[in-house]
Amino acid sequence: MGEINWAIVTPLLILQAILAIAALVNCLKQEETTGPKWMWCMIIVSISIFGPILYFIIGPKKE
Amino acid sequence: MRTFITLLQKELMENFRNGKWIWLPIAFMIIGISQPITTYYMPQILESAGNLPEGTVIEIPTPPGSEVLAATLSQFGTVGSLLFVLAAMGVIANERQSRALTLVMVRPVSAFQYIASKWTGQILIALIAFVLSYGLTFYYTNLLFEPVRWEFLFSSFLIYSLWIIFLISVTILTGTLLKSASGIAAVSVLTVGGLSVISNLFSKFTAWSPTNLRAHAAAILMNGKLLENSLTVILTTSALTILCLLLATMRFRRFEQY
Repeated sequence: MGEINWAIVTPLLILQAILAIAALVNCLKQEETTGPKWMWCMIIVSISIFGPILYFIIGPKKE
Repeated sequence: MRTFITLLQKELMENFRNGKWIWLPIAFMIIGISQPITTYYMPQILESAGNLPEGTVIEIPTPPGSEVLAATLSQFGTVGSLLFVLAAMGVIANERQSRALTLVMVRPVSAFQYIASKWTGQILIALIAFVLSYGLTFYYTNLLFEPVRWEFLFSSFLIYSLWIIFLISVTILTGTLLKSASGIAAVSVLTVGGLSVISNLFSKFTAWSPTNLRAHAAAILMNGKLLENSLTVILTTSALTILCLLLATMRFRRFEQY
């Protein structure tokens, strides 16, 4: 892949970054999560797109 | 009406707190713009990924913009529908589990106001996510491929919104029938998926099926006009949506005895 036009791809990366950061912030602010908090942080950081979505759907503990 | 607005405001605030306003639109935008970008870079992706023999020449014709947008809609139809159901599955079940429902229902709130506020809240988020994502994808498609006419875009958007509204109504109805969030998601997905399989198998007898809306939306994008039976589909979908809401209200009233 020689030349990638970064003007096209950057918005995609920015969106992914926003999603991951929002999930991380939400996770850290949460009092309790289902399962250990560090595990969720790992999932959010390491799995792109689906990690944060997975966290938002099942992560926060409903008391 | 005042009660409804208060409930709706509470619902929207709740969704700000649990981050739904962030993740649903962003996830949709990512799914949306991935489609034109991967289509645009397909030759390079194939070149770098496959162990193709030396000198293989792959000629991929550049698809017209409308085809790329239709492919995006089909992405929304699979992954997107799942996300909508997952986002809407817990709206009633979570409040029931956390006993917040009892606190709401001891006040003079009718079952219909409650269901309608949940329904409107979910649809607002879903449609805003869809608008943002579809608009961004439209922008990308015009940039990378030949432009699509915006009237076609707008009418396909309207048709597709009807499908999203139907999907959420089914999820809300299931939400009043079952107690666990995962069960609600599973039943809703199976119902809609089953409907879609049946209407593909027996397409002759199921021209009315709401799942056909997706094909209609794609047809508008490609040809600029609806398929036949479009009016039937639109009418049955609206009727089924209203039916889902009414059933949900009735079921909710019987389920919650206070």
